[in-house]
Amino acid sequence: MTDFKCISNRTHVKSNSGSVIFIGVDLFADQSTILQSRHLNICLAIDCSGSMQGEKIERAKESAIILARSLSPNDLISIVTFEYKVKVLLAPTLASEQDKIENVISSIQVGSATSLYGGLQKANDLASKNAKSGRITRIVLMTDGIPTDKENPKDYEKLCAEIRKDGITVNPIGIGDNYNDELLLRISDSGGGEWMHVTDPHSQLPNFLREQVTMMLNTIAINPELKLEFIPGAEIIDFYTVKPILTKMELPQRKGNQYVLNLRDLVIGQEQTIVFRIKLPHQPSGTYNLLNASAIDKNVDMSITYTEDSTLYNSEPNPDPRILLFATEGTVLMRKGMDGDTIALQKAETILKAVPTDPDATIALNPATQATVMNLKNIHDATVMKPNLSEAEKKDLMHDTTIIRRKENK
Amino acid sequence: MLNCPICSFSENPDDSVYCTECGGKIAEESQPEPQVVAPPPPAQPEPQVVAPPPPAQPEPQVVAPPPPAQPEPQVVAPPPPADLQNPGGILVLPDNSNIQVETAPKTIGRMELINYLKTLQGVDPMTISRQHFTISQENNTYYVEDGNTVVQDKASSNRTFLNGVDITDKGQQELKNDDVIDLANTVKLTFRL
Repeated sequence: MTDFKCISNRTHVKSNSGSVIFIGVDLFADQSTILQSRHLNICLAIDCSGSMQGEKIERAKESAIILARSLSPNDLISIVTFEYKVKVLLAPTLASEQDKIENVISSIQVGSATSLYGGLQKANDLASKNAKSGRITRIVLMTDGIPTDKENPKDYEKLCAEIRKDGITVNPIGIGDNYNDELLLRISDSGGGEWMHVTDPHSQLPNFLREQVTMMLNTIAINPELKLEFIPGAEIIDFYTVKPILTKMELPQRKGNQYVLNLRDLVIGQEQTIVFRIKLPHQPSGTYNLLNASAIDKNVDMSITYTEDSTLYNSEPNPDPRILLFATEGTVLMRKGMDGDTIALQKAETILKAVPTDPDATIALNPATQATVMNLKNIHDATVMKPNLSEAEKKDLMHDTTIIRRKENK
Repeated sequence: MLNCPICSFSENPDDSVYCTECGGKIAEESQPEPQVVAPPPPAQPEPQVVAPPPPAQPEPQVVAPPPPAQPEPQVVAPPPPADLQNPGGILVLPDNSNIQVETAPKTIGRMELINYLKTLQGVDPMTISRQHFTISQENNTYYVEDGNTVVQDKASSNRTFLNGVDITDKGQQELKNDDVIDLANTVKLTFRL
């Protein structure tokens, strides 16, 4: 069953005055959701630069074989390698051809340079051929370094947004300490996937790749849309996804009073939480339709009352969405602070002071909000205590504050 | 006009509780803060044989005085017996603060210990892994294992010792009352049931 909830922090605002409210949206498909079985189409893009030599490339190969073995005979797999040259190692091939696939994977060798952009482009060429036939399609990118062909994250965002339009997700896996985490995060944001940070290829890589297959098999909606139709004059100031990835989102185009947002694929057991800050128009006293929200096959209506009664407009029946947004905003700012942005760091500290971190005060909040508040406090403590974080520590912290604990599969 | 402490917007009307610019909370709502519950009385009050005479009916007054402060009729429930208090056991730190193991498996690491680590002189908190060890429970028996075993198998960087014995890479070890878990030879935690 899919569950779709919208909650606002306030139900009353002051008449003929500007107000800002917060709306949290939660989308979740539980284990009882009926799943249509669909074939998979997975493309591995593997970095074969010189730095992958040794343990990293051997583990990448081993994990690729484990992944190939976990596919069903009618699933498709293709493989691209990139160093200075971008090579199609394996054109889309049925997983039933196990020997051929394993021979190809075993033959992978390292070269020099990192043509990441070229590798991603080629992976898209291969993946998109079969993406429209109803297969669940995913590009898994493994890299340990900085691209040598294109460096501007905007180029990658543009490419990934194109890839995403075909319903393909891009899941980047960063290995070690020398890759650009910011770039991988932006690839995963625009490509609808999740950035994974691997410190120990031996134990983590096979698990992450197996997890990709499980998530693909549990996907119930590709590229779902969230439609929000507001009271005329209302606008979204900013919004964040909190689960499964904590990140600030670009404002979508507005058509009239309606916003249409592209969500990540809906996967059984994986909660999607989004939180919005909304500027409301001035209105005379009365009750109005605030919002009609729809996603998948669900629909929610919310109303808002404009009033002169200050005890009503000054009350906040549910502080959760407000605290969730500020804690999320603070975390995003703190991450920038870690990268040396002192203004962002200051803003984050101001927000931290305004967000209750005392366990007694947060006990009334829902668990996702509590986790986000703790997250902000942790990243703050770690950053402030160790102003010169090593690259490895920084990546760990970035990753921990990006992937908020998943709802356990029951 | 009120200043917002978060975004510094300075043109909020005087009765604002929420900033009209960023939506943040400027002031407390006018309703009184819920009173913090006073700590429980040190001992059970001995039953009083002679109750103090109730105050005589007050003479009718136009403005009723605030009722005399009633002795709190035991709002706070007596603390539960010790064996129910910590159903999941606790980990006691050297400074006598503690971590509840209310749900097992539970992974403990740097963040759970951060307040204590901050007080240590000359200790690099990064010595403790983010997910240093995991406590799990099966059939009323507790186990401790180095590293994070809940989501992924990942050993700690600087080892875990149980009663002085290195248990890194040794899998689950039974955990008993008063056992000492030593993280990286830096922090010793005592497990209490």
